[in-house]
Amino acid sequence: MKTPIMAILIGFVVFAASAEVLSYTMGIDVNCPSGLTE
Amino acid sequence: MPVREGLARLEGVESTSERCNRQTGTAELRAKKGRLLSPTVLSNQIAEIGVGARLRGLEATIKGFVERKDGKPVLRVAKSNEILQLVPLATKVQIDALKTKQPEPPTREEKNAHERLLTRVKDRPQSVRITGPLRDGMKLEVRTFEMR
Repeated sequence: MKTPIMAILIGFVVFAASAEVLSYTMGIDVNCPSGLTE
Repeated sequence: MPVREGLARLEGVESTSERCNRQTGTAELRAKKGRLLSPTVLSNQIAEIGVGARLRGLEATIKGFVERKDGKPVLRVAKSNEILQLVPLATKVQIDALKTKQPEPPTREEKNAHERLLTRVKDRPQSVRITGPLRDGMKLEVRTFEMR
């Protein structure tokens, strides 16, 4: 992440509402199986 | 920086799965207070982490009330004022990551889930749980649903 402050600012835009979304499944292109941890 | 660590730092993200699903090229994410995310903005955020990851799509499982608005089926998201237009499934978020790298073909049930849901929409709002790809423009593709 380039700047945590920027991420937080953007984050407020993304997560503007409270709701009842139980879960998300992200379709993500990343080097699996190292996946999200590397 | 690892993708997971980057996502965990974002405001509003409660948790992410430790590893992606190798078969479907997907990973789970939970938002604090069940908040509704914008696929485009989340995609930009993941790109901003700068580790070469790309958001291909975002599927959500949402509780709410299905009803008709101006003749069209909508989901009024529980505990919020958000209203999502319900549309048929176009493309699954899950892919065949090990072979074709293409989106998984929908099952027959998934293909006609939207149509089946429409036949059950009454005049009064009904409690429902819907899973499907979330699209910009406040649209939710119906892949599976469960009436309560």
